[in-house]
Amino acid sequence: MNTQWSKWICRLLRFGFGGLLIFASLSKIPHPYEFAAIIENYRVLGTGLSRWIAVWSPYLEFCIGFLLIIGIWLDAVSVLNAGLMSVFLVLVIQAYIRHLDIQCGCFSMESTGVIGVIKILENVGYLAGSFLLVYFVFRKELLSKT
Amino acid sequence: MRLFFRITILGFSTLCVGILVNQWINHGIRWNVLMYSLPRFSRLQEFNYISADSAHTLFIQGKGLFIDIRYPDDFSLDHIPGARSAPLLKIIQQPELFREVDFDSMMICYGFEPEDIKAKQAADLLRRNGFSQILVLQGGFAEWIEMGYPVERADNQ
Repeated sequence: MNTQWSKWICRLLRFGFGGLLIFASLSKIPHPYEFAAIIENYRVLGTGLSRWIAVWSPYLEFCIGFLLIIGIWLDAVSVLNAGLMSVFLVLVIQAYIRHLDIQCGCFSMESTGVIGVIKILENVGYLAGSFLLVYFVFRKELLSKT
Repeated sequence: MRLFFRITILGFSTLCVGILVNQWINHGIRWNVLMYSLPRFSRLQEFNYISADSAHTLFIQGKGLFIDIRYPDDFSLDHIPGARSAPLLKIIQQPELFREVDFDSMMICYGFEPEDIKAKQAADLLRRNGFSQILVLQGGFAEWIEMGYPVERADNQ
């Protein structure tokens, strides 16, 4: 792929994920107790840890989103972004396997409905995009070093 | 090494910001709740459930204060006679809600669903506020109705 194309795809991914994460975090920040309840509904963490995650993750999402858009510390934020997407995917898959009738809460507090194959495919898409971003960021770093 | 350092800085600083902002925003998860939520401080797992049967016995004996954590609209439709309405948000916003109640009094929290998560959270908060004898109605209000135990309905009032 020529450099010009990869540069634009990288930018598109950065702005796409950046906007998505900021949007997601803004809906979670004002409602930490509700978000903690959503996390707890996945039945992976107890009430205590769910509260800690509810306090932490929206700000982490916001920070990752913001740094992706302004382009600072791209290596770290792209890896963290891929990590977040992996966690979302694992949570969604385990909820699907366990037939948990819960709201996703990945990117919005208002999403409803049972987690299904479409939600899993959506998360697979996000994960693929996030790994592509990691690839572009590190490729760019390698090229700039050589 | 640099990558690890940056990830650590981002993780730690966002956690600190999250904790700080939650002290300030409305209905944020406050520091004492977070500390209480740490596994070694948490007693949520130790909550005693009470069956509808045993709760009914307490009800007949006039022991225990029933706390209905459902929305006020649901409470006004039907509830356990003598129960007090205290939705989760109200307990969070008004820690002084039960100031006239003795700290050693028995309190039975219930939601509609069996093992209602909000009832457990309410019980958690009440315990944090100093009440020592908190029980959670295991089958919830649903089981109470199913067993045919007394219910105060809107048309009875």
